Amino acid sequence: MLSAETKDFLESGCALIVATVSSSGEPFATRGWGLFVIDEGRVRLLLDERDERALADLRHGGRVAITAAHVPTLHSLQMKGRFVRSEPADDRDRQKVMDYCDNFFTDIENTDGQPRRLLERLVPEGYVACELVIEEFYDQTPGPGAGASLVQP
Amino acid sequence: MTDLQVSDLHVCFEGAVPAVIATAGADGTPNITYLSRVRFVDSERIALSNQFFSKTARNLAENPRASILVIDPHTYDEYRLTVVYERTDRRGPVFERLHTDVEALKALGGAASVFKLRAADIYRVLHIESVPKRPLQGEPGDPPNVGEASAAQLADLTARLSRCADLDTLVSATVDGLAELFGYQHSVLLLLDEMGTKLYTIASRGYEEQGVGSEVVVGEGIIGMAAARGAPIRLGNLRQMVKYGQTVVRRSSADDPSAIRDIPVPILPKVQSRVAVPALALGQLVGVLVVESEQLVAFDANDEALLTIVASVVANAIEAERTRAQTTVASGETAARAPAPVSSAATHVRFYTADGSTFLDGDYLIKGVAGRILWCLLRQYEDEGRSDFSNREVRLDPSLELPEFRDNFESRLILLKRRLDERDSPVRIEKTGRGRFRVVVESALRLESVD
Repeated sequence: MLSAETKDFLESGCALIVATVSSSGEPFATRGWGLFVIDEGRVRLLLDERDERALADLRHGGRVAITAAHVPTLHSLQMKGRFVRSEPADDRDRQKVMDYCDNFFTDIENTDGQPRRLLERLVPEGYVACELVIEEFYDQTPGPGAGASLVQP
Repeated sequence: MTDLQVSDLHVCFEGAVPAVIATAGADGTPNITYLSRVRFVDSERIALSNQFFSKTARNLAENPRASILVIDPHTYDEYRLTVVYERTDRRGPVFERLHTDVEALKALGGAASVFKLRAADIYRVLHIESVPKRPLQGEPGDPPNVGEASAAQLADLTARLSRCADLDTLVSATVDGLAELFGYQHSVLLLLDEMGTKLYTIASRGYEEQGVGSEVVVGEGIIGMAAARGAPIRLGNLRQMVKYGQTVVRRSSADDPSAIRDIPVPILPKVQSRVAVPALALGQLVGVLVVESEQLVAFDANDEALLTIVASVVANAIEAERTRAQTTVASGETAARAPAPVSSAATHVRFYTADGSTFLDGDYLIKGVAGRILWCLLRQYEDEGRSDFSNREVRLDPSLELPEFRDNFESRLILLKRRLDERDSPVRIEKTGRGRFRVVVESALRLESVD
């Protein structure tokens, strides 16, 4: 389902924003801190361990939306799916966060000019790894075509 | 609502860091996307521009709740706003503010048909949460408000401007005073041309190239937009806006060709913030005053207000000087004969009659009225050996094609003088008295007129 190009994009330093929904239908916005593509239909998303609301939404069977955006070009892809399971982040996950932040912050510094010492304030202290099944893809690049469904990105 | 108020987050709404909105449909499927701009409405409300986010709009029709992330660009403090959709405005002050934002994107992006504000969606803020973050190391980011002014500083600047005896001194005193008294290190003053369709740079400070003579079409770009609307435009996130605008344009097929300019308008290479303020006198546009910074969100409403006052003072002074110049009899020293050229290498002056474009030794110098003035002066210098002139006699030369009303002769002469100085040209213009000037030529000339 995912092309090699899309896999590389999702695992790069692209900006990751995440939405969950509570059982009462209340949406919640947060950030992702790195992502692995497990296979064609599953990803492992790293969330801030203090994001209790997002984690609770996911564990209670809520659905998830993730938008990945390439900082220099704003090329963006939205994925929608559901939660499978979660576990504390391991060493590989923590290395992933470090690599992700380095790439993400480098892009922001070079493109938008914000200093890294400010960007690093956003970095969480600990992480939870969430396995998600991805069922839908959308083109989210700003413009008239934003929101168009993608069959095979 | 927590202790945090919507008004506490003002700087987050300058658009420097893209905001994020999460919504959910009736079936519980979430959606998340970036926002081009969030605007403060009042102590309980914010507004979002409805341009492209169709899924977000559909979700809100089913479920009015949303979660929004915003970031303070100076500290990177992050806030999560829980909001509920309240109403949609298609006119009124909030719509107009967002419309101006979209117009600015259009001005930067260049594709008019793509950027269209459909509506301003108003949300009531139910809760503001400060997202946990790491301690700030060192000083906060960019210091805002370089132009925090006291009445005494403003009085100092107006006194400096009041002492200026001519337009040349006035435009220099303006950009110098803005830097020395208020810390605006990068500024440009542009004046409206005779036809009221273009602005031309008469003075600048803080740029590698002064750009004197560079032109902006009224209505084009941020500067032209401020002129056309007769209202200030303030942007604190230009790099982000340009990136967003270019992305949208790339995604559409409506790309407009960008204007080609002979002399580039001065611009900071990494400009983030810009304020463009129209200079008005007696209800008429005289020019535009621009300040820039490489810092994010460097200017706020106080800067806008201060620059509006300064621009008004300058505009009225320019109008007064123009009136005086057209009614005063010339006085001052005279010299009948041109001094001998210092250098023996001839300077090739090529003049195009069609538009007044003038080249010195193959390099573009100036066009339009200023080009015609130079050609008129150099012809008389060569043919009659004259070097001293009065403004009054030159402005009567029909070859200049000056309009009868508001001919801008003095402004064009100063533009020409500054352009010659900037290029370190062998031809210079020196003021010799009120309404009089001298053409100083330091090389032999070879004049060529091209039809």
